[in-house]
Amino acid sequence: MLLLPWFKWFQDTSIGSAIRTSTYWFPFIEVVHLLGLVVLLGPILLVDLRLLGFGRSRLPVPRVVRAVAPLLLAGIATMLATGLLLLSAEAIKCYDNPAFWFKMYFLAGALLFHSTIYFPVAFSTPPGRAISKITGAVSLILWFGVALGGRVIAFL
Amino acid sequence: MSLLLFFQWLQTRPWAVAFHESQYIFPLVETTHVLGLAGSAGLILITDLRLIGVILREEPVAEVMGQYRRWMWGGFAVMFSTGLVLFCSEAVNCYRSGTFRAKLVFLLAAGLNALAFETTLGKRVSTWGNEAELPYRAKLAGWVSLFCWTGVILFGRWTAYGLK
Repeated sequence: MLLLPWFKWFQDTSIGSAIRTSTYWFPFIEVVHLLGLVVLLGPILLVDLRLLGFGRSRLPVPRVVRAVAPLLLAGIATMLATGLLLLSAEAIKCYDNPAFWFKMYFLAGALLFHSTIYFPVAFSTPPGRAISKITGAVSLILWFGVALGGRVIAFL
Repeated sequence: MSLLLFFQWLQTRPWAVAFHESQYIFPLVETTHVLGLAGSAGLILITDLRLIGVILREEPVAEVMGQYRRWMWGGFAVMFSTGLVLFCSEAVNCYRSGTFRAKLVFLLAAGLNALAFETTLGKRVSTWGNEAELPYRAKLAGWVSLFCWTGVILFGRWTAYGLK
């Protein structure tokens, strides 16, 4: 209940109203949101699979992480920006949607996990160790939850 | 016309109707389709950016792709099989949809590009794939793939809006 006034305010902003009343803005922003997911998932999958010990390659994981980190950040930035715009168009609907909150909890978990544990482990521990495998698995589960929740929002 | 009749027949099969009207299986398959797409397209993106010369320039192409090649094809198989089932249940609407046809054109182009790459340059990747600056045909393959997959996703999402 605490957040409901904010969601109401957010929905009533001029941006929210503009997106809601336009025929094309919402689908257009949603497509960009989906493209952002692709840009985000590439690096995530690649690094997580390597942390789990898959893939035949002599490339050290830290070097891979450093190379794809900008892509990962670009994907997250795109998704957050377009996600906020989409939310502004139907904030109250999302507030009442359990899948939205499911997604938000997983997103908070994923962002927290990546900004604390994920990168230090990916940069320091050789893949195949238990800590690397757990880190890769947790990251996969968290982002899978985000994507799943996101898709289900539309079905509820 | 015969194609339309076939799609009408296909769409009215009991299993296709049951699938289309199921409360959970249809969303589940559609979600799997989107996640399979996002996953494999994400890994294709890594490949394209390496070919174009944006990321991992210092690393051999074979080493970059060796990390995830199987998973990329696995994701592609998931996307293709779920897509086929989804198509069967809405065959006529897809047939009539301009955006769906556009999607197929982009998908076909992406497939031909990948096939051309795999059967020529891809076979002797060790002879050219170790440089930061790759031959122009490899770069071109990367750009074409990037362009085509963006088109597939764009028109794929748009098709779903049209069918609603």
